[in-house]
Amino acid sequence: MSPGAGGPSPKPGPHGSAGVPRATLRRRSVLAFVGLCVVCVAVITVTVVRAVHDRGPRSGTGVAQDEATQISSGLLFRDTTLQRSFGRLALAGASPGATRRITPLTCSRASFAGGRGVCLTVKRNIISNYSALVFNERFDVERTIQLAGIPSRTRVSPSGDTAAITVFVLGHSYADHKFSTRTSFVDLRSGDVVEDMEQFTVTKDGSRVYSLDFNFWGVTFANDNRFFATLGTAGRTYLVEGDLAARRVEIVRDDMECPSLSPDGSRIAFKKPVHSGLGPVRWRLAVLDLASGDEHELAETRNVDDQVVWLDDERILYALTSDGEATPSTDDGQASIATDLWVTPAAGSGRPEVYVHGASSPAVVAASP
Amino acid sequence: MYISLRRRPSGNGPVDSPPDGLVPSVGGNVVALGLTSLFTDISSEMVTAVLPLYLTFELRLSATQFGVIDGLTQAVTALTLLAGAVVADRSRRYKEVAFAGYAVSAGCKVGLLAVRSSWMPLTGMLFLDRTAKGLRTPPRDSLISLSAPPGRLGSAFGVHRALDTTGAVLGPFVAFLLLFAAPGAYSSVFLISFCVALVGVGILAVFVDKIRDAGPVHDRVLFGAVAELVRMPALRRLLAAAALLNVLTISDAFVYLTLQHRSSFQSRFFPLLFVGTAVAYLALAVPFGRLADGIGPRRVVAGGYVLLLCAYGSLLLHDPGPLAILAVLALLGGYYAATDGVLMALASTVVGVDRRATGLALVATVVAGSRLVSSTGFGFLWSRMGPRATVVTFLVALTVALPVAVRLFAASARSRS
Repeated sequence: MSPGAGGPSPKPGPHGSAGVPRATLRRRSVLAFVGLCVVCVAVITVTVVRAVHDRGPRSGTGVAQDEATQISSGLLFRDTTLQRSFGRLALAGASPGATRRITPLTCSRASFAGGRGVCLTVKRNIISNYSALVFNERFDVERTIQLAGIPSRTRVSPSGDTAAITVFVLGHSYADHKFSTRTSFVDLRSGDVVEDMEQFTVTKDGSRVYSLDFNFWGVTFANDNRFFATLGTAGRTYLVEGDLAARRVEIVRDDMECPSLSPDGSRIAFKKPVHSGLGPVRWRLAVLDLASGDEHELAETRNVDDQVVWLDDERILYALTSDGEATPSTDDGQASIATDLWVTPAAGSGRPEVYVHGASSPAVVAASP
Repeated sequence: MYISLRRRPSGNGPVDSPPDGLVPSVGGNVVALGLTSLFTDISSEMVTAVLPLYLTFELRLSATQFGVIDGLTQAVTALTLLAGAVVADRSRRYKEVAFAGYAVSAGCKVGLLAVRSSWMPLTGMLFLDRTAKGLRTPPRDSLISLSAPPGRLGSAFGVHRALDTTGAVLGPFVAFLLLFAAPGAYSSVFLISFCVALVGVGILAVFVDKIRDAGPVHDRVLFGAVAELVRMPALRRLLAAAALLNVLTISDAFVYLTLQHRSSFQSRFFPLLFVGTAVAYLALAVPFGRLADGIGPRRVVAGGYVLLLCAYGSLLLHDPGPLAILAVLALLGGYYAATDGVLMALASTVVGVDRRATGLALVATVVAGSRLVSSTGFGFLWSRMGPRATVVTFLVALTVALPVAVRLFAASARSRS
């Protein structure tokens, strides 16, 4: 504790103590306070300067790179090789390990389908600016959509006409300490927000349910109207099936997060919370068969906190940090973390393997007809 | 009559200056206490603002675990309010007890840095911080009431609450500014929060004068002191009125959620609702405090609830536009300005100097407890009837309860004299 706070001088009695006049004591304590302020200002300045200086990618191992100008079929992902290209959207050819081609876009999350993509970006400034860039096959940015908070997830519908975007919104702490997610649907042709999921009717077994703390995230599209998503409420998570035009979601199943619909539309891969007493939650990947309702866990036993992507009908892609930890739920605050993309069979057999080093947020781009 | 007003001002401010000017003169002690609160609130709100992110993203706690920690730590504050008050009243060492509370809270910010890797000690640290908050609040409010110049109780609390709220608004702003500039720099937030808290503690140590008013010192144990106070008809009626009103008050978070549900305004503006209310509160705290000194605190408290009823009424509008939303925020801020500090000023006139801290702590506990009941009830009704019907229920109940509460306040004033 510093001198001003602790008060090293004798307590000033009515006449001062230890023969020191009261005015002198007063002057001393004021001086001590001024000293305290000077020290505090110095510490704060040093802390801010160091914190701001410490961010930014470090130099890392070399990966062969090239510039990309057009999307062909293959894998689109975020480069995390800790080089200058860190955070840029990149393309990999059909064979993993081949030269990656770096695109002009820098994203924290991205998705691409039907000739259109969404790139969630963070521009750091005094007040950070979050936006979604809508881009085409040649990486031209067609429009920019302002976001309300830190980018979390995005998915583009198969047609490329609609996207779902989830951000974290930080509640001001003055009255409420909770943070929450906001998911909205965006018309990529016009750039308009079509619907905010907070306004949707939630039903369970056909009858309406209310709650104050509904949060939605992790949308996956079946088509432009039908989708699946996560609903979080009262500390639990549910799989919901939604109808965008009817502004309605129906609770389908509980205890599952971040669904991802298989290309053939028959199964959903998701992350399943593994609760361990009061300790932090871990996530386990699993696949649900929609027709039978059966679910099975995948061979991956590590903690995967990601909305996975189907590489094809048999294999699932997800990101882990290079030391095998779960990737952060949001990229904000985790600007320079090295991650790898892993692949594991959807059937639950086999074992996971690294698919692409130095990559995250994958999007599988189908060959255009 | 006022039984316990301090005749001699303890601060440096002139006592007999006319009640003109933008800020009424309330004495150096009150201003110093306000500044202590300002710095402490910047510090603690910085931490509270980033804590959910820190706990869930860095430490990976689930929303349920976070909810449990949050709920428990809030309860701790309520429990320690009375303990700190009784110690302060028995020892007459208001400044020292308050100082201990502020200093422990400051220390906890360093503690958060030390235990940042594991959540169990971290929860312990949050508990300690909340305990300290409970400990310091009643002796601080007692110091304000005992330092206020005669007839300026309302103004004194108004000035204090305005400074306090300014800190609460600045805190999250400072924290997010830092996190935006340096993402993930949670330890920097904690360290800066500690430095800011130290300045607040320093102001208290150096610029707040001790007050040891004359009067018998009671040496009853906790329950005896509380029981004796509750037997006072004047305080009992005041507590009953406060409980009745607060049980029927919708918590801010629910007001905002209802607004969001009923209007089409974009959710990106949601955080601004909190700021809007706080700004209205800090702008109106001083004027309403002065008004309380002029026309009496009871009228101002009753007026505050009329503002609140108007705010609830606006919630019922179909798709309220930006103007209606601003009006709700202004009304809500006005309600806080007219009730929060003014209720403490009112209680200060009811409770004798010998048990001032305990009396104020009782009021604070009753308010906190009633609000807990209110938010549980609101959540329960919402999930059964939906937002509109729930708001209507609270609106009608509060309208009926307000005249009853006003009569209780009046009876409290009569039994005092």
